[in-house]
Amino acid sequence: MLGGIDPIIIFSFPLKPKIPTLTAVPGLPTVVDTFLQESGLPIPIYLSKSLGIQIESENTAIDIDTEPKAKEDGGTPEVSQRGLNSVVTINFFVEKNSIILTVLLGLVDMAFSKLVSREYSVTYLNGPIVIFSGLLHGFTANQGSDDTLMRLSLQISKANQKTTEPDDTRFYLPRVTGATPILGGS
Amino acid sequence: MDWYNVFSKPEFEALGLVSNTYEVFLEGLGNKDILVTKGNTIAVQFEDEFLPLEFADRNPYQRGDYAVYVDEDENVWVGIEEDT
Repeated sequence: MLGGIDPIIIFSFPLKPKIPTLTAVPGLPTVVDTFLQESGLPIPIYLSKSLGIQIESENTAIDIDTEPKAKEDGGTPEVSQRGLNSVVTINFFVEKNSIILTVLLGLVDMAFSKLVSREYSVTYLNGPIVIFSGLLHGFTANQGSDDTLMRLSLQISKANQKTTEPDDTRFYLPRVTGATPILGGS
Repeated sequence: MDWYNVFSKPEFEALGLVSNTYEVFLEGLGNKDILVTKGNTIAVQFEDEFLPLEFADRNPYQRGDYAVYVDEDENVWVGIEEDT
């Protein structure tokens, strides 16, 4: 939330090609062009009731792969873990005639077109649930026949967040050709 | 046959593990995961082939296109037929 009022989703799309430097005061350059090139143009959407949007539920899920390695003497096994995914799901409903619905659907489509190039990011702020520069993981929109609401489900992944990683343990092994490696020796 | 020196047998035994996966980059082949297990004997599982070290007193021990060899320094080599 901004100022603790409404949840907010921010879509960011890097700008291309390079834009000219903007000057607020003649002779004084700003850093706006650098910011927009690297962080992208932020497009905020306030999930406010006054705009016809109501958050129904939120949930966070983390998937972790845990691989224990047993020991011969039955001692404490060695454990290696790696994060598979961290996804926040936001379920909300929007009035069908809301302009925010149109904007949201358009931005999701735009992000979908940039999935491969990764030229987008999604930020979500709502109380304790905060995601900066997340990735779009899923989106569904269901329209009811007997009401004026459209139910949306947006999934944002934090899989691209920087984590502490162990040193690369993948060793490069050169090839030795021969009937046996000793006879070969090349 | 192309051979790759994957691990040291004494070092693996010193770990005290029942199994260990060696994540390696093999020249000419790329990233591979090699599972080494210890039961009655130490064995290498590579590309779905189970290769016990010095099985039936054969060193190298070959099964299909893959083989395993223990040299005099107790380094374990995994072999792959050149046309595989």
